[in-house]
Amino acid sequence: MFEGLLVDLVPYGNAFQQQEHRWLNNESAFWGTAGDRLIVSRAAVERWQTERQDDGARPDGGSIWFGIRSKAGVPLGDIELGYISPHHRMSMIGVGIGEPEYWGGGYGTDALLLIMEYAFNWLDHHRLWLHTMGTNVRMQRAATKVGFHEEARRRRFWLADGQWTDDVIYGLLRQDWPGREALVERLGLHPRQEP
Amino acid sequence: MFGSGVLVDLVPYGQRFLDLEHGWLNGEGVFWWAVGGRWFVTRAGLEMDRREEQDDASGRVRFGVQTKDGTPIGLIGINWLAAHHRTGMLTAFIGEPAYWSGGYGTDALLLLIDHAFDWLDLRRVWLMTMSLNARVMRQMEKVGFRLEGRRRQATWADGAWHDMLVYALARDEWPGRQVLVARLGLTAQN
Repeated sequence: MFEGLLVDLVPYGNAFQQQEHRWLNNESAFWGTAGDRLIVSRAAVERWQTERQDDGARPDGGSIWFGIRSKAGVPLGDIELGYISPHHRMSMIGVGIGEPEYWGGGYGTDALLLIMEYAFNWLDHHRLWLHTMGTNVRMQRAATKVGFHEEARRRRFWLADGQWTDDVIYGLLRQDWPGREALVERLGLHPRQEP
Repeated sequence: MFGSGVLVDLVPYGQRFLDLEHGWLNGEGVFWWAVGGRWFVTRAGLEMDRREEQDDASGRVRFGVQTKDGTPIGLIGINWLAAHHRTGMLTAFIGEPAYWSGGYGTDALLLLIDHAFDWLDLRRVWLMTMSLNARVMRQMEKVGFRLEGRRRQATWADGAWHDMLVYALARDEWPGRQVLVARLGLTAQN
């Protein structure tokens, strides 16, 4: 377990898998998938969960999943490192807060700080990256706040709800990362009353 | 045949190409194709990969590239086809170094772009290359791709970090293959 101020990162176990069907069918999926509106059966979710477990066992290109749990013990969503490349020493962060009432409260940011520290200090990553839709202002604000740079803007890349939207790629080099404690202080993160 | 160019044709990626691919993947060309990877690929490994690709054929298109006299020189295709976003990532690999810098890859690329826009109805095509690859960077500029970003130090190749460059071409920026053939002065050669 990695302990933050607002959330902890814990193994992505049953408590989270049971929520995933609901999360994938609510509004959070639109932001998490770059504009898809999924209508997903329980059977499909279970199949993906199994595939993901197999995928995680691969030495290259695999992924590592964490559940994001609030300090009160509520499963909020997931955060993961995907496309892990051992010799390029980098991976892609994916993150989703499945409970909309927790959006905008710093919970995702706190989780980002924890997984960045895990990637750099435990996996010896050289670089992290993520991408999001041009219309996902919340994700872009969070990425910028924790130190990511916009590295590419792919024009009109996604069709989302009838609109073409850019794909924005962010990157962070380890040499530009000041460490988790420095970021917690800079951002003024502190525990708060949960919704 | 899927496309008849000035220097090359695009043809089905059949056994003739598969037989050569093992040599190509273990040759110098793979370093450029795999953005710094240096692979050692067995025939069995290659055949397994190709079988898996056939099972998952909806997301990709692959052609063989052969010269006008019928010599197979490489492959070209589209990966990560996204049907409703109408995008695709281009991939190209001239496995025979003797055919580098002669316009063969560019000719094949023009044919592939036409195929992507006119037959697959894609809106945009994209690709990435590493900052070491001056040949592809020059080609992108010539053909009219736009540099959309630079992913810093995103690949470790031959003992150093190199950037990954993100290029894209939108359909409304594409004047059509004939215009490009004329602009680039592509002509048949020996």
